[in-house]
Amino acid sequence: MKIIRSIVKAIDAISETSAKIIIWLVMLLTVVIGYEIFSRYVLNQPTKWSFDLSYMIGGTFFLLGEAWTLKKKHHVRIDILYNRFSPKTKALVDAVLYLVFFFPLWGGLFYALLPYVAFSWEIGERSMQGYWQPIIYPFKTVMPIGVGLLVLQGFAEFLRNIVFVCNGGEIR
Amino acid sequence: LGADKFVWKMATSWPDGTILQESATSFADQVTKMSNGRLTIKTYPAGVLMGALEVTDSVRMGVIDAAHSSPSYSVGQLPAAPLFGYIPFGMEAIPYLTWLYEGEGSQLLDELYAKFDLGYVAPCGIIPSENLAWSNKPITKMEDFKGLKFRTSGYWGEILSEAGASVMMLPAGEVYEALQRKVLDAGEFSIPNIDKDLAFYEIADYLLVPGIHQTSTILDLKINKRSWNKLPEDLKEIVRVAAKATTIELLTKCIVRDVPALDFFKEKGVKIQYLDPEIQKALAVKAAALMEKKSANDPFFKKVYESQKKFRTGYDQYKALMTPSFK
Amino acid sequence: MSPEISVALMFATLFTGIFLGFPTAFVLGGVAFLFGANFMGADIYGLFIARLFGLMKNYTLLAVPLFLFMGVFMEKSGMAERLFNAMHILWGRFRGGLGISTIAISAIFAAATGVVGASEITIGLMALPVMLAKKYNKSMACGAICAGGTLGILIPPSVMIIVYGPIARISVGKLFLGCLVPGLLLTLLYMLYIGIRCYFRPQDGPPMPVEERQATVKEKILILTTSVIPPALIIFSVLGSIFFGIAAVTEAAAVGAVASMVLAASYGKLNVGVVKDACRQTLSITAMIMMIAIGATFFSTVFVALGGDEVITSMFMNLPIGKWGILFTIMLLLVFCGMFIDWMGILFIIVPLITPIAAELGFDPVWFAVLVMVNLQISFLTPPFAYSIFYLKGIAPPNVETIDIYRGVMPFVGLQVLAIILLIIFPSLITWLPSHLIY
Ligand code: NA
Ligand code: NA
Repeated sequence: MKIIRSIVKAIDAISETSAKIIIWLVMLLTVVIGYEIFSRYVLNQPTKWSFDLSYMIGGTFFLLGEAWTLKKKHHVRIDILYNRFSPKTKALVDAVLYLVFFFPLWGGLFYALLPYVAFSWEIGERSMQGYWQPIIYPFKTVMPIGVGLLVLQGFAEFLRNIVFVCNGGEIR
Repeated sequence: LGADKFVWKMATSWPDGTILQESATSFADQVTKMSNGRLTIKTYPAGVLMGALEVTDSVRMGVIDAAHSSPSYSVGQLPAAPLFGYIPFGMEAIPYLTWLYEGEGSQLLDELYAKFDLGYVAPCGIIPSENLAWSNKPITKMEDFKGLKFRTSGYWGEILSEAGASVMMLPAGEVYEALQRKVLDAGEFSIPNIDKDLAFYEIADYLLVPGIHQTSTILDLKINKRSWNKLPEDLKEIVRVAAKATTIELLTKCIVRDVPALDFFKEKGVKIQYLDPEIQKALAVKAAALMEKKSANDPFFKKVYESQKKFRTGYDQYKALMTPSFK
Repeated sequence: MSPEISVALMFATLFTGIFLGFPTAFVLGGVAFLFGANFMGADIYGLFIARLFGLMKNYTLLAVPLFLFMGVFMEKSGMAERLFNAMHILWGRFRGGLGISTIAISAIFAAATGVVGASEITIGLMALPVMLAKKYNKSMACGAICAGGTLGILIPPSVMIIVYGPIARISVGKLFLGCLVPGLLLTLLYMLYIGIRCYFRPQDGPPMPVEERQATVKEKILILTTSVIPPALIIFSVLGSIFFGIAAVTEAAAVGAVASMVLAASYGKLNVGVVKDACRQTLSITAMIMMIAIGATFFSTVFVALGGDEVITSMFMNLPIGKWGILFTIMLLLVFCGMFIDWMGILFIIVPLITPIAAELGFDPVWFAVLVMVNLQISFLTPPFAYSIFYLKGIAPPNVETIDIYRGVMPFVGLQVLAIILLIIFPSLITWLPSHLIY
């Protein structure tokens, strides 16, 4: 039990720490787009890079934030039935549904992403969205990282529910 | 399904309702009819199963059996790919197809996609010269490019930047409004009949031609290796023939719609400008320099580019001798 | 499995999962995987990867975090309180005046931001305690705040319009103009409802005592200028940069974010703590919305791969009820889905299915799209899945029960239905502006 507790807490800490950095990306995004507009009208020279950089920042922002959002329980649910369950039933239902809905999709996706991203590194893939055409494999690598963090946090939530069902109390 | 019946999923890079998606569907229909239903291909327009730029990776991974796209869309993964799709000041349809079907192009196309380990790849459609630009400003001299806020992408963006334009990237869906609100001075999208559907004539004062940035564009068919190897020889031949038939069908269909589309623009009061040949020449010099630069960076790019140059030299001599001039 | 059975089973599993209380986004994705894997094995992951990457590099969707960021700053700037005080002075002597003020501020916020959450929370925090203290009818006060909040996503700029345009392939600019009059119409209907109800039942919204709204003309002018001009500038910076061609829509959202930061600074409310807090809130709401977008995209991809789109289309087209009957059925379907799935999910799942049907029936595409979006307003108010109610519940004092809120929003749902009927009878309310206004 003690080991499970520390595993859950360690995963929580990873999600919390990653979020501390990730949250600033929206500020960076605002600055990048703001600079593009400034550059276009004041310097009369649109930037080559702001388009690609913008979606890269935006995509990284939300995907790397998913694990933390899961930890904060901010993913909305319909609670009309759920609220009538006892705390134990809630935990049990959640644990089972993690096995049915969550891990098959996100665990498998993480596994499938590895060769996909490896191929991108192997051929030195570049973005073809704009005309800056920067390398895109670092951005693609955000996918397994973000999904990996999410799976990890999902695992922590799963353990939390199991421990609660087994009378181990709440892990905060 | 019987042992000898196949159902394929084919995703395309084209939005539903466009002439390009029409040609993908037509290809699929031909295959179904010719094979008497033994091979049916279900087509999915861009955005339905996946985005336009995702189809090639998906056929490589076996998520779908086939992809209908353009080699140009693979430039991020394969730097030489535009040479098989379109490059500025590239070949026109007839020589391009000759190089690809009968010249070294066919071999080189296989070589291009070697890393993707595909079962089959071939041209499956070609579109003629695009519109060079929809513009709110006239362009009659080289200086007019200076500071021109222009929406385009790829090599043409690099060349126009060289010429002093402010090249901007915007998603296709935002081009119309950006032009209308003058966020952009000019932008290019596609051939006359496609641009007509997108109603650019409503908002731009000038239409600039000819499509020196995209003289003709090859679409291609890519088939996953696992799916292809399962087919018996007769069905493979049906796919090959249907792809070739689709190539010519798309070309002629585009032309028969582009001719009235240009008239339609005139009726709507758009001023159609033929870009001064001197400007074309000046831009061609910049384009050639860019191609040489790309060649220096990538041996396969160089190999293909040299092959095209050699072919074009021969073809140009032939054309000069064999083209009548009695107008 | 035939496509018909797949469709039925997919929805059945979806609703089961949602009702068991698992987060909707994960149920959507999980159902997509179970049915997709059954259909095409592990290859389904490749399809999901393509979809996920597509969402990550979607430039248009950047408007979501940017509008949220802006909304959070507007909330933190204290602008809403100033506006509310000003509205007090204007409307206080009327019966229901505070309710009408609430709607008016909601509409002003709606014209500056593109989302529902931030403005509703701000306005709710400020207006609800005041209305309760002034003995307003609890339900009506809650309903006004919830309904006012939904205006945020109809009156342009709006994230819903920005996402809708590319899915239906309609110009976002046309949709902005198309939504303007319906947004104002709803604002008017809400105000009229509160005004008329309180006129006949003053106990639901008593007028303010004279001594509480005394101010000299000079004071009035000062309050109005310091409270009305800043939001007007923000509205101008966002809508202005869109319509005068300074920035594309996504960029305008960034302009708005900067403008609201400047406003917060000028009110002396900007510091590192505030910025950090704004960033945190933006991340959590963006991640929540995007996870629903991901789940819904996976779901709709599998749905189409299984032939579900054809099932739905042929089902609709074979209904022997004529084009208006089909339209009615579509509207009903949207209301039904809106009870269980959030607007983003509906946009990604339902809109690609119904847009071709509407085209086939010969409906004007802009008109139809706006009608759908007005309908989607209802989804914010209809339980069990109702964002507006969630938000208000999160900030309401404990003596406000959920049932008060449910009861309160129902008349406003009725007004939304009334608006839809008016828009069907008078289609030019939608189409006139996009077809005539050349900007
Ligand atoms: Na709005
Ligand atoms: Na709802």
